[in-house]
Amino acid sequence: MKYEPKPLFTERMLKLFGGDSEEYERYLKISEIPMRRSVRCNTLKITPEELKIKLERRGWKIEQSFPEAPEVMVVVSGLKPGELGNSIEHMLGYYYVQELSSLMPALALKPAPGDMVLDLAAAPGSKTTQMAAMMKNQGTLIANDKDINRISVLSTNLERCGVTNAIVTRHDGVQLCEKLEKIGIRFDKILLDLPCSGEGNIRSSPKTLLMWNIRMIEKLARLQRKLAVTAVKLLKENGKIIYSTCTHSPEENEANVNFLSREFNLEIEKIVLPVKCRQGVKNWEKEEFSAGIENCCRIYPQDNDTEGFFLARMRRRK
Amino acid sequence: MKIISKKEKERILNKLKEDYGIGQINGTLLETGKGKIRLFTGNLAQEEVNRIIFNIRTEMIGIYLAKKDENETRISFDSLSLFRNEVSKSVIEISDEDAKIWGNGEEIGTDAQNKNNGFVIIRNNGNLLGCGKIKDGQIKNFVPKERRTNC
Repeated sequence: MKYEPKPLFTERMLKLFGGDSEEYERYLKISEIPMRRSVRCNTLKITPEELKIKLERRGWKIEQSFPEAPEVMVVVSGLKPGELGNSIEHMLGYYYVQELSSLMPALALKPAPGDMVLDLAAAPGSKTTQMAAMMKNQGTLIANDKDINRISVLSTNLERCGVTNAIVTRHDGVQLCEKLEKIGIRFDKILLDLPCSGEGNIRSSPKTLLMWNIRMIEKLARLQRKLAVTAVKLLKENGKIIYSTCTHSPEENEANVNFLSREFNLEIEKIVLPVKCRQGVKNWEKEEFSAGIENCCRIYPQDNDTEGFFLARMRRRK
Repeated sequence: MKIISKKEKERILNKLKEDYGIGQINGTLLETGKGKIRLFTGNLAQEEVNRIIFNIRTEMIGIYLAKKDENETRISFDSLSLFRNEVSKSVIEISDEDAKIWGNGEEIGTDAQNKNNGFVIIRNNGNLLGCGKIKDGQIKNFVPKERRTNC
């Protein structure tokens, strides 16, 4: 490993793997292998069949690993640095370079044409553009971020991908939710892809191991809970919310999902995804989580040759 | 940012049909200054759009559809490929070699005449590569800097 994991990191990951040191070794080993290069066909502009032909003409070998999601393509042939982002097809918005695990939250949320959708931390726009495509540019998508530079990247990506049904807003997430609540805007679907400690990203960002510390996890868990609490209030009856992070720590994941489901009468729904998911942990440290927490989905790099991810889908009961 | 009236919307859409053959475009048109027109297809009532714009810091709505001058309407680079299967007029097909030059943001030569004396759409291998304007045997390039390929 480029950076050695800290002892507490190792201890916690081992605990998550039920003390299985071989599993932990597999986790570390795959973290040293470069990521597969994947793109998502932007169906607002082109069909997967048409795009595949165009990309194969470039000499790229394309695999569509998920029959239920033909828009997801893995480029299995070697690529020059920057080649994916410098093709004419990319320039025309025919595809979006997107890591496989980051495709999962939108696939789990299933935004449909006509839905009213909120993407609270939207930049750089991978999931926003994916949701707009799933909605066929029909319905409304409010895409928010608080940072002006990130908004600029988000806006560019929305334009490039031909998204016509989005409203881009710039607010702190809590502030935005409070304002939306005040003016009576409610949502069918909410994507809460939250800022996190990034333990799932050590393949693409090994430096995460260097910066990792437990205080950061505790701080982020509090921030995530605060954001989620204000967002949940904007759900319509039967509305659905995805809580997702790119980290493994239960404080940032199951503990918050457990809190939300209990406090706001939310049902944690079972999710079917085209990747291997492990159940949410039922307890962590001294906390026992409620029934339903097993429906949370843990995506580990060694299971799918992806980055690590966590997601839960919750429905607001009547 | 203001919502364009029904009458003005009809005029703009007729112009897009007349110049490029683009048929029905559903949604709200908004004007954001300097003649820039945006298309928003969200299913919100005008009152709801206004409620959001006036209460929430709104950076962008919909997509930059076109820029209108007095007599011409130039469709934007990014929205053009949404109408890939509809565009039927004012199209100039270019070679692969010219497409590389065009993608770099440079002008290309042409023998074509511009019937409308307005903008033309550049096409290569079924890809719509933005608008250009013919003058003195050259097609002026309007590909935005951030969309150039530098090949």
